[in-house]
Amino acid sequence: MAQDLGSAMAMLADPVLLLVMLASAIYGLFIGAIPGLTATLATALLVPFAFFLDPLPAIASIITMSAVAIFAGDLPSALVRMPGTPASAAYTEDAYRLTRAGQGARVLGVGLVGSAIGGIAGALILIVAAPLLAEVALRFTSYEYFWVAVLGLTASVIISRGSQVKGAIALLLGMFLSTVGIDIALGYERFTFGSTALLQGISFIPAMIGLFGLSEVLRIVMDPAARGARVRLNTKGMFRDTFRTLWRYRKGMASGTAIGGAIGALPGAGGDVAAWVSYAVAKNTAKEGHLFGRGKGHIEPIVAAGSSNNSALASAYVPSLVFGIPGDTITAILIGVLLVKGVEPGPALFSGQTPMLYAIYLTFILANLLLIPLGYAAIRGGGHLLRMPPAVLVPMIVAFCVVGSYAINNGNLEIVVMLLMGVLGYLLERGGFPLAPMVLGLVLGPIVEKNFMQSVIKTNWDLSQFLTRPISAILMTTTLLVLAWPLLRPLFRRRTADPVTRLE
Amino acid sequence: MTGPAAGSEAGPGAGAGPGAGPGAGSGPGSGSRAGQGRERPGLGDVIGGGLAAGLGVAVILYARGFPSLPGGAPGPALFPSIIGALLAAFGLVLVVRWVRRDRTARPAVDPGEPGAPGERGEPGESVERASIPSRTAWTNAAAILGSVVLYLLVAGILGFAITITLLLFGLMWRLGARPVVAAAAAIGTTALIYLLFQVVLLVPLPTGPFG
Repeated sequence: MAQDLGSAMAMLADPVLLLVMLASAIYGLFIGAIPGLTATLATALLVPFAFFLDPLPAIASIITMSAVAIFAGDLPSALVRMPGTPASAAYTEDAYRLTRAGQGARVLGVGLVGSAIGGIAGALILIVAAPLLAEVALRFTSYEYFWVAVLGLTASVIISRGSQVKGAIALLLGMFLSTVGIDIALGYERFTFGSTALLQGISFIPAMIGLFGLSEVLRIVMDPAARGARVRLNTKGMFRDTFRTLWRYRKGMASGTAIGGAIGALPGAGGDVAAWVSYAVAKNTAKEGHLFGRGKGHIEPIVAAGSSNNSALASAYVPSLVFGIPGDTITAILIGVLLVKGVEPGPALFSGQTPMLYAIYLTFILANLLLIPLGYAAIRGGGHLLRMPPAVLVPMIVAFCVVGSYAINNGNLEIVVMLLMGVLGYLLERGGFPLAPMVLGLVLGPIVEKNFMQSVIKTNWDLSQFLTRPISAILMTTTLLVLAWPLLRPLFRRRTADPVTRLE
Repeated sequence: MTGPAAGSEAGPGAGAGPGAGPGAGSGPGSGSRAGQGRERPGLGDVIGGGLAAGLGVAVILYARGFPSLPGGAPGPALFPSIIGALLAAFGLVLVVRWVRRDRTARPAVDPGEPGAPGERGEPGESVERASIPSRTAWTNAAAILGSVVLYLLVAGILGFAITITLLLFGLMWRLGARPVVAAAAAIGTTALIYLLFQVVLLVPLPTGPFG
């Protein structure tokens, strides 16, 4: 163990890796701080670069970038009342009101240190939970992998925000797109319409760039947001104040971190859902919950939800690394990239490549420590990051989408895929169809099909194995429970829901 | 107000009401079942549902031409057919819901507004910020898509550097940047992209008449 940790440290000491992490952090700070640009968009634009890196720097770069971006989203929340990323949306109102009341530095200090602590706590959850789950996962065969993937798909629909029917349609659309190309059972060409370019299937990275990059800029120009006024911050004594506040609300921070850790590990739910739930829990349990989001705002939800979203970010790697089932859109993109590079995440990572695993753990901790000085600089710099006019920013992103897609295969087909997926992503969002289930469908669709086909061909269509193997049975029951959840939920909730329904 | 993503129908357990704002759909209990009864399905529902159903049927019909496994068991057609059937079913649900919608109900969200922004819910998702895009917005979006198409057509002839500089300039100008700013930013961005992709990542970008 000590020896593995030593070799992991040696892997991290690589100057290229450290440089990649630093550059990714600055990039994440920049994208996260600009309202309208999400951490997922940042990931999509980062992917062409990650594609050229070795697996460890690629993973490290995405980890660092997203950890920083999620904090940076707090900056415009506090300064101009616009969440920089959706993960900050839950407590934007409180952050802005407190800033107006002259407490901006405290808000951002709490956001910053809370994020770092939440991120490290999430990493600890990962370090403890992942190897335990991997023990189980090592006993998995194609049957269990089939069920785990189905469970992931089901959960992503049930917890998708917005209508679940629309979530299901988005998921199925992603799964359908994943069937394009050579089929796993017979090598038959499906939905290629004679095009040799489509034999390999729809190119994943350009699809992500379109879905989260181009569609996002379309949304920005179609629905331009108003810009708020700028506020000055006084950062004197910020850290002392921050630590005092965090200590005072340490219970809120602990529960926020725990909630984030649990929600992040669910497939399809990321930092934004974690932040909303933590906010709701804090509001219901805090003595001063009635003050949240009104008057001068309240710092407690920022402590809870701000640590929650970073914790969720880290724990999303639990199912990603153990089963290859992504915990949120960022890890979905990461897994897609690793698969394209021929690296298959799974329990083997935990038995074979231990130094690599420790290096990933250390990356998390390093990334969250790096967050503090960079975040402090950003707070000192105040709103400068927000000054980038959209008229300049939007074309820049478009150019990066185009060249990034091209770079994957030096071909124009990838640009076409990016363009079409960009338009599709925009239209889906506009119609209220969530994109997260669609990405999961794209990544998990082939896994579901491959494991199903392998299983049935192996046993000559003896389906009973799916039901009678012990782990299979447990996973199937869990899937059924998740599916039944929307039907069961009103039973638990009737008392609170009814008055509202009647009123409206 | 930055209401919780207008009419957010709920994350897990969010029924406790993360809704801090007084938005129409943000009250406690806007959990999915309770919420769906209230919220009027918008145009996006019927169009999206119809298209999904159509795609589902088309996929099933097309997949009938796929070969089966030796012994007659379904092979390549199995998954596409299941996906197609479910797409058709869920698509129909949306259409039926729209047809039977309660016309008197107050729409919780503007029909055009994404009912719930999911993973990427956005800045100042206020209910008030209505979202019927202006004509400028449409032309701007068209300009963005058009410039990608133009790049595809022209980059092979003019080369990467010239094409992307011109497109960047045009697009920035169109979106309202001052010409001087646009020119400087266009050249700077092109140089940055060239440096990152051609020099660092060794991607052979299309060269133009000047090499």
